[in-house]
Formats: sequence, C-alpha cells, structure tokens
Amino acid sequence: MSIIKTENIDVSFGDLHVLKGVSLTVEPKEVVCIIGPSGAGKSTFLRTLNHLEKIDTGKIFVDDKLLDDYENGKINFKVTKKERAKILLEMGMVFQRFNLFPHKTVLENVMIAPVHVKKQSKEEAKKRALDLLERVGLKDKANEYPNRLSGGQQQRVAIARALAMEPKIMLFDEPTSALDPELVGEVLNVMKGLAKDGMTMIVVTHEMAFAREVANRVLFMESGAIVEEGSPEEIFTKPKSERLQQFLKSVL
Amino acid sequence: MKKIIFAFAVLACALSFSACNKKVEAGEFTVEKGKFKVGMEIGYPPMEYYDADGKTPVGFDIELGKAVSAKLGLEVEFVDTAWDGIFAGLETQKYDVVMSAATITPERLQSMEFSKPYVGNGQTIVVKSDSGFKPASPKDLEGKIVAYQAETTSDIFMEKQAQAGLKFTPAEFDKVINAYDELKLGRCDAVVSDALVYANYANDPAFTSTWVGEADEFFGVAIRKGNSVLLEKVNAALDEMIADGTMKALYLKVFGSDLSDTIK
Amino acid sequence: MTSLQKIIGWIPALLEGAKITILLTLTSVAAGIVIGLFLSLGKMSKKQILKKLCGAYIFFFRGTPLLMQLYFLYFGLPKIFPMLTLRSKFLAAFIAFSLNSGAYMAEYIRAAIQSIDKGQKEASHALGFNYWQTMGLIIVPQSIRRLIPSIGNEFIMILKDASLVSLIALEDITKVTRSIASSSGNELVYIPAMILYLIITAVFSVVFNRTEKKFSVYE
Repeated sequence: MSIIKTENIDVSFGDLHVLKGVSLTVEPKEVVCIIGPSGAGKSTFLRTLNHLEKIDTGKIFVDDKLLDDYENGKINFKVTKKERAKILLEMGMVFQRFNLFPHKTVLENVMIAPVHVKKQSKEEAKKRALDLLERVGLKDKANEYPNRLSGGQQQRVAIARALAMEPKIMLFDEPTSALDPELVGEVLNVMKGLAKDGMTMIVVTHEMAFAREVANRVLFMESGAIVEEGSPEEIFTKPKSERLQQFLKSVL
Repeated sequence: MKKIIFAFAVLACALSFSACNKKVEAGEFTVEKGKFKVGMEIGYPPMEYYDADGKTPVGFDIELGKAVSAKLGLEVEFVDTAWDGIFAGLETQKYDVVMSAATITPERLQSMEFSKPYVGNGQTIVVKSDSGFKPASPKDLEGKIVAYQAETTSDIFMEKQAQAGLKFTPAEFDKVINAYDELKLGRCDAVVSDALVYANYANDPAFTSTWVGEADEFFGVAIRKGNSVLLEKVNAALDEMIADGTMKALYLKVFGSDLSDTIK
Repeated sequence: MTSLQKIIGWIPALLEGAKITILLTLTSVAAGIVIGLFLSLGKMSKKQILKKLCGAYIFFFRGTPLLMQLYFLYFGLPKIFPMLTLRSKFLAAFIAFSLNSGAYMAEYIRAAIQSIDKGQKEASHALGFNYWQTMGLIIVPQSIRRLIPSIGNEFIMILKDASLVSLIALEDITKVTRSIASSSGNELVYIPAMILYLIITAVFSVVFNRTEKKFSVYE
C-alpha cells in the first residue's frame, strides 16, 4: 500500500505550464529525493500534495484513498471537507524559510497544532513537544522566541513542529537552501535520524551528498517533468539522460 | 512654468489690493463702498432663516436689513455667520452691522454700539402639547431636561435660574432649531427660547407655550464701536420706519401682530 | 480675581467634560477595532457578496463627513423612523463614532494582515489549522503589533473629533470650554482647555509607545 501516489499531475500558472504529467508512487518508509535545476517544478509538485498548490489535471491518492481527481480544472471527485482535513494531517511539511510562528516560543510552536487541531491536553502536548525538542537537540531552547535562534536551530524546531502532528509522511521543501553552510549539517543530521527511524520522506533538495547517502530513490526533474528516476547509485554514477549528465556536471 | 508663477503673482497683488479696499477709509462708513453688509446667524426663525429652497434668506431681520439699506441708499448683502463669534466680526470688519436678534445688554455695550431697540422680546417656555407637562413658571422646570440655544439670552436666562438654585438638566444646542427638534422627538421636557422664535412654531399643534416672561429684552442693530456715522444713520432710518408705518407693517407680516408697544 | 484663580475655578467643569471626551474616545475606538476586524476579514473574503457589502460600508463611512453621520443619526433618522430615536446623547455619539472608526480601522487592519508573511498561512495550513484558527492564533496576533501605530493615531484623531458632539449638546471638553468662554466673555479658558487636550494626548502616546515596545519582544 503506497503512502502517496500521484497520476499525471498537470499544473499551469496562466500560460506557464509548470508541471507536465508527473506520476509518482511512494511506499512506506521510503525516502525519495527530488533534484533538478531551479524552476523545474520540484517545489510546486511537492506543494500540490498537501494542497498548497492547486492541480489542473491529475489524481492524488493517499493511503490508496483517492483525495483529488481533477480534469482541466474541474473536479471529478470530491472528498468531504472533514475527510480532506483528516487526510492532509497525514502529511507534515518543512519549509525552506522555516515559517515558525515568531510570536510564540519554541515550545509553543511545537505544541500549538496538537492542542488546537488534535485537541490534545496542554500537559500531554507539552510532554510530547519536549520529547521532540530533545530529539532534535533543542530542549534547552524551549522557552526562547524563534528570533533568538540560528537558522539551523529554527529549522530543527520546524521539523519538531511538523513531527508533533505524527504524520505518516514528511515533505521537505529545500530545507537547507536558506541556511548558512555551517548550519546545514545539523539539520541534515536530524533528517538522517528520521529516515533511520523509518519515516516516509519526500525531500526536494540541492544537497547531493545527502541524497546519495540517505535516499532510497532519487528523481531528477526538469521543466516540469520527471526526466530520470532511480536509485542513488544509478542516478549519480550512471546517469542515462544527457540532461541529467549536464545537471550533475554543473553541481558536482 | 514662469508664466504660471507670473499669473500667480498678479493674482496675489490683485487680491491684496481688493483686501485693502475692504478697510474703511476716512469719511466712508461702510466696509465696502455702496454696500450695507449685515452679519447674521441664518438659522433662527422667524428672525432669520433659509426659505424652503435652502438658500434664500427670509425673516424679520432680513426685511429690516432690506428696509434700512434702502433708506441709506445702499445695496444690502447678508453674511451668514456662526453665532459663536458673530460680534467679533464687527471688529474685524467682516460686515457693517449685526442684525441677528441680538439683545442689547450692558456687557455687550462695553465693546460695541447698539441702535435703538427695534423690537422687544421675552423668554418663553415651550412644551410638547401632548406631554401632559404644563410648567406655569420657570420654577416648574425643577428636575427637568431643558433645551435651549447656547450663548443666547435664553442661555443667560437659564443660568440665572441655576444660580438662583433651580436644578435642571441642560441641553445646550448650537442652533435653536435643534432644541425644538429635541422637544418634538421627546428627548427633553421643555424648550426655553425667545418668544419671537416661538412665534414661528405657534402654528404647529405639537408645541404649546405655557409661560411667557416679561418683554424685557430688546433687539438692536449692533455696530462697531467708534462708527458713529453709521450709528446715526441707522437710528435715523429706524425712526423713519416707525413714523411712516413700515415697521408696523413688518411686525404684522412676520409675527402676525403689531409689536410696536414692545419698544415704547 | 487673578487669571490663575479664574483658571482654577474652571478646572472642575473642564474635568467633567474630559470624562466624556476620554470615555467616548476609548469606547469608540475599541468598538471600531472590533467592527474593523470583521469588516477587513469580510473584505478579504472570497465570497463576493460579503466582499462587496464590506467594501460599500467602508466607502460610505470614509466618504462622508463624521459631522454629517452624527447629525443624521441623532436628528435625521428619528424624523424618518421615529422608532430609531436615541434617547442618550452619549450612546448616539458612541454609535456614530464607532461606525466611523470601524471603517478606518478596517483598512488599517487589512493592511496589517496582508503584510504578514505568506509563509505563516502556509505553515498553518500544513499543520491542519482551519481558517478561523489561522486567523485567530497566527495571523491576527502578529498583526496587532503592526497595528499599534495606527490605533494610536486613531485614538488621537477621535479625541479631537469628539469635539463635534457639541452639535448634539453633549458636554465634552470643547463644549464646556465654549460655554465658559461665552458666559464669562473671557477667552482665557481656551488655554487650560488646550493644555488638558495636550495632557490627554501625551498620556495616550506614552501608553502606546510602551505597548509597542512590549509587543516587539519577539521580532
């Protein structure tokens, strides 16, 4: 049973055809990394999964349940709002710019969704939040405001915040692209830890070393389509398509 | 660009010259040659108010102004002014006279001239006919809400009552019309106003006057202190109007009765 | 009596007027903020009818003079609909000023909300918040800090606009001042009156500055 499956996702922003028939299946515990040049549509694709972007055509399945079915902007299948909200909770997202809530402390940031969305008690949410903060190595910063933390620390809090909702799959949208180089490592380490613990992950990234080390599968996207797909070994050492070869040359 | 600046300069000069003309030159007794400018608060029926069209001034003071200026051989111009500060306009020569139901008082005589009285007035208490409240004297206003126009003799009258110990809730409005509105809407118990103003509302069955005080206030034409030439001319005009019956005709036209006795 | 003695004699009356002025200002702006919040959310809504209604309200109340709104509410409406006769002058003033302030606050609030980074909404969505949770927990609280200067301004403007209530015979500072000036024939009273306004404005300003500082802890 796949956690996420997409069939022929097509997205256009006006005249710009951003995603062209993207199909992907992600199995439980899989770590899928998406690489490719800027403007390839990697982030856009990731964001269609949790409805931050609308799709024009295509189907999205979560846990083998149909979530969306669009054809040329029209909905063929609609799940109830309640159902949709429930399904979307299975996905957690970590953003490039962290998007922590600046007016809440670190601890509050991690607790706030479980309390208000999952209706957990404050005590329970606090306990779990502290555990998660410990896991990402930031328990001692629990009562600080985000603006006192470095970028790397903020991103780790963001990961803890997403994990607090106990998602089945974590979506990472270029999680280290906005970080100073020396802070990238601490975030990647947390992500490696997550992968080891068996979290299903889709990661859009430019960190090739990470992809090589942690991914089960790597997708190369360019101009809105998946050009090549395979194991890290295949993608990085035996690129088949010319475009992938060129891309790898330019980044490595 | 230069042309625009030049045009502005010319305009500025022209304006400053015309402003100069407004100052009274030696021998002239009006602020603008050939014109008789009358300052008044147009909103005080039946003395001065706007006709149904909203722009034609009508009322006793308007008729008076027209008659006096005719006698003086001048063109009349009415200058609508807020009551608050209307007398200051005499000093700053915005107009020649104030004909605005202005009561002659010793305080006012200290800073301006007044013509002889042209009509007498007293205070009256007005109530809503169906309210069941019938004050027979100012003392009956104890504990009531009383509306009147601010800074008028009605205001002074009520202040005197308050100083003499009467306790009431005042509702001081900028315009007397609002005080009558307030009464009609039932938001006050009584209105205290000039009896002459009430003459305007006497035909409205909604209102009843339950008390009229002595006609011990006199309206006069206010003139800037020192302008004795104009004062003489205005007094002469008033005398003529009383003698030749013009004044009586005006009383009848506006108030419906001959008020000649009030200024005897 | 010296001038100073006269001034001291006028102070009790002025302070009575100040009570009205301050109370009216505080309550009207507070109500205006609440009205403005709902108007701004309405104007940002995707439902066209709601958007247009809120837009129309804002257009009307910002496009007509407060003086007219007050006059119409107190004198005009009761003549057309006798049922709508407001007995209390303060209530009438409060309603007129709140409705008016609400229109201006709506625009300030809308600007503040729209200035919040888009990422905040996205993170809220990703965590499963619904619209009201996103607004109530995340967006609006952050907007408050950006609103403080505007709210402070609005206080100070309404404080002065409150002087319009002399139109409906409500005894605020300005009305009391004018009464004293005309009955005593002495314009001297304007001095303590203006000083009183300045003191109130200064106090408001200090409070707002402190509040702004408090909220900037996390930014």
